[in-house]
Amino acid sequence: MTEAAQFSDFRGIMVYLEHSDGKLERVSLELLGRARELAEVLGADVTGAILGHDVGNLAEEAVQFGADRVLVADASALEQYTTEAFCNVLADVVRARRPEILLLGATHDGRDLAGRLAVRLKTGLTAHAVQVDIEPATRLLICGVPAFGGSIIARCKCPRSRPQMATVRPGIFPVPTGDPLRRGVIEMVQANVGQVRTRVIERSVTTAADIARAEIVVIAGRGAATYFDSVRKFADSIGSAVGVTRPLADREFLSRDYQVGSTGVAIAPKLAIVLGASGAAHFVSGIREAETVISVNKDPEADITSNADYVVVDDLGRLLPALVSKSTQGVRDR
Amino acid sequence: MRIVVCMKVVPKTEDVRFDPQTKTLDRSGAESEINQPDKHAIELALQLRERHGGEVLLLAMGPSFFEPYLRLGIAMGADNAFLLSDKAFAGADTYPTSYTIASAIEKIGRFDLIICGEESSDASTGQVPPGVAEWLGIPQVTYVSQLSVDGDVVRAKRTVKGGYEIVEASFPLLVSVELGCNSPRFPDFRRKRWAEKELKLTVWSAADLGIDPLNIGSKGSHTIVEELVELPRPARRMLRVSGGVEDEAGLILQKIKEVSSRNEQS
Amino acid sequence: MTVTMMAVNEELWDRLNQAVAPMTLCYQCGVCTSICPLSATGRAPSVRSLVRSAQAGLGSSFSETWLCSTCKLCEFTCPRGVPIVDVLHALRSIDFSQRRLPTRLEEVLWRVYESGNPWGERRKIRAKWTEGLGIKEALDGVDVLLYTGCASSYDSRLQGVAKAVASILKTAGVDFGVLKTQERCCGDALYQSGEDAYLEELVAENIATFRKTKAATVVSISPHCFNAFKTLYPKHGADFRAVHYTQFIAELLDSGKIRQARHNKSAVTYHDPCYLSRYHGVQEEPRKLLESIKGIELLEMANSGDSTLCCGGGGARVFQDIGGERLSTIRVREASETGAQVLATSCPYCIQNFEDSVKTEGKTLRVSDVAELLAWSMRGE
Repeated sequence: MTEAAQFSDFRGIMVYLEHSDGKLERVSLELLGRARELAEVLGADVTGAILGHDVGNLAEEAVQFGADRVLVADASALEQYTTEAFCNVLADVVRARRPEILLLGATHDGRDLAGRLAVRLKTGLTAHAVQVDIEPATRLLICGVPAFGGSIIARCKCPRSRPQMATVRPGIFPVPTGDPLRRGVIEMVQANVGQVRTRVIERSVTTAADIARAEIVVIAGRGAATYFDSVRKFADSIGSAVGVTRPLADREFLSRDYQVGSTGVAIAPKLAIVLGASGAAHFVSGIREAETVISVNKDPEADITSNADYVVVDDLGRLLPALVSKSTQGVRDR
Repeated sequence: MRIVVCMKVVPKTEDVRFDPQTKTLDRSGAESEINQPDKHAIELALQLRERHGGEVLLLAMGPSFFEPYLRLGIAMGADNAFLLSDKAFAGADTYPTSYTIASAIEKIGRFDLIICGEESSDASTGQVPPGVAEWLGIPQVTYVSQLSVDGDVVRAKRTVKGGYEIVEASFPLLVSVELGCNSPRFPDFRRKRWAEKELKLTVWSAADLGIDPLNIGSKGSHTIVEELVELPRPARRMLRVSGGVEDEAGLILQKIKEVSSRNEQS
Repeated sequence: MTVTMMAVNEELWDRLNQAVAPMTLCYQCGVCTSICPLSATGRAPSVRSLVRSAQAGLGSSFSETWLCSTCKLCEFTCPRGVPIVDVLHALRSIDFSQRRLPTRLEEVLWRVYESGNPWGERRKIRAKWTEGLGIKEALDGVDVLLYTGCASSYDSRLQGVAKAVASILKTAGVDFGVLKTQERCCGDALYQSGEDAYLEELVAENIATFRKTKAATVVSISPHCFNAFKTLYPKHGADFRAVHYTQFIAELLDSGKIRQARHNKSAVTYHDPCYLSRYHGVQEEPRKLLESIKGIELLEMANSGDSTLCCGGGGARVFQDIGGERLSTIRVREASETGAQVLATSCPYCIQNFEDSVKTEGKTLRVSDVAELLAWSMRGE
């Protein structure tokens, strides 16, 4: 029996939909959009899976953004994310509905869940894909997964088991346009939460400025550490977001939510102003999609030079005061 | 408290070269190092042992050249180390890798806590820790930045987008720790020299673990790598800006203005 | 009235006494505390109580132990010749063994071990500064080994100093080379952090590598590396002659091997690096080099020679972010007051610190290494 025939009863693309504060997470919308496109190639349906408590309203949103069917598992034990509760419920859903593909956002919770679920389902999982495609001849999911800091992509497949699972990096695919007229089926499914041995006793989340959505981002690298206050001042005066490279996140100048790079946030601003970063591969992969990159670094040989549109070889100690005074001047003159 | 720390030895990222002709990775010129997040895992284990007593055991799956790195972990203060080494383990994706590691932990026997680094710097999947937890049937907490133990209760501070959660659990438990969550102590090189002479590492093969060869290595993998491609670099203009700080600042502000005025137009 | 009993740690006292028996000479006069340059930065350590805690076998103050730049001004002023910096080092070694050291330095130790330099820069590009300059690989066999050091190998500003020294040696016809693939940290960062177990291995490996070059003389760019080679390495069996580049080039000047083509009309003030002037009495040679350049007017700051004012980089401070007023800023102000246009020195840490301070003070002072000024004057029109 060919592999294709062996899995003929696995059909469709399922997307695990993450949510918070009564809204679907942006990455979930991105995945619905991509799933919709892949479903066209496969001639199959897109099913959204929502787990939570009092989350019925999210199903409508999921349909608007591309789901043909939405399965909602609602239970008070699902109010907070815990690995075991969510894994137990989602495993049941997947076993019952047999999708050929299961996509999740590569968020902390998504990766926490997917890693366990794949072993539960005895199937293959590719991690934080940046490319998600279908091989038309075989109907197989083929994902591009970054390795070694992101400059090398491994194209991966899961031919011998189902569902083919992948976590997908947020910010790779565009958010589709919601269509309020779209029709879909919303189904409440049973939530057998099972044994749960962890408990969230405290949660503290602030809506951090989502630097992935900023139009202009000023990024401070190691060379800008001593001038960080000036960097912030400059960013404030031009109304831009501030990001940091890994060494500065390590030293807690800003939290990892502001760290740009392969282990942090990938950004796609219209303008990225990179101050004092050498341009290590894992950082550069985070600004790949920036429309324009300006770099300021006193070392003309730094790797960042070949990754910038405008290269300023100068000392931040001298340039920043000029930038701050000119930009605050500009604000006053307006 | 008996703690098992899973560690991996990885090539230094910046030393790995991609050959676009043969489309293969060239690791031959690359130096190796302990995967950085695993150093944080070892450090956390040692801190817990200092507080609560017990034993810290290192576990790695890899070829024999991993041995000096395991001894480095012993030099940091770990009590003993296990290396899972067998040709049959080669070519494993995260599925058989987590299975092999879980089998070894079962052979090691009783444990309270398993600590892993959040991900390794080569493949960066972060999938092995949750996989191991599932194979062992124990709960997991990932992306931990702090951990404390109070009697029977474990409290882990876990990083989530925009903040953190505090998760409570009890032993046995698996956690994965974040890069940068602590300062790994520098190894004691006298202890390292002692370990090189006196400490025999335990090396287990697939037969020692009693596991089915079909479930390990490339045979046991569910995913395959079709090919490696170099992500084409976006063509950057690399225009050098000169003329002193006034001109340079002027250009930067001009570009900022251009972006803002485009927005006003649209 | 309450009397607080402080527990005297016998074991600690034994270790300290073994390491630094002369600390018993201290009679607690406090001159060291008053002279310490850090007292002008708002973070004034009590050097006297540091020595006292060592004498009494008590633990020392963490911040004070690790704040010291090891400049030795206190030792030079001590009326009883107490080896204060050795006492400090013993306290740091004890701290290290109890794992009491700044987090930044723990990272530095790992970097030296894993990358051969305290900055964590890639081993493979260490000798990149030599490209295109026709510099010999020292392992091919040379008379003189030019030891670049980590700072000058990797920092783009300091590579200029390495290139200047190399070009002077080349022009003077010296048979020298650089360890391009095998140069590793001299170990000073480890020593300053109180570590000694890995330091032993590193020093032994470096001595073996140096032997392979057959060089009888090792010329260092950094006074810190020079100090390590001169005082620490012989304890581990090294038998090469260790010199600072200013000493070596002064010898070349004396034997007429250096000719200068260009005049440099500048008013220059020279800053004595602590590790050259107080540690090894190398004060005349750098001035000799400067005075050999026609047109240079040498102006002296008040605190020069034995009383030079530390830039704040020694004692592993250069790897840490220490707040407060910077010593280098105080020194830059002093240099400005002489009316000089150029602040010259011969230590990479001093240059890094002065470059930063000149910027933050907004001074027009140019910071130059002695070698850079000399090399410039040696280049033909």
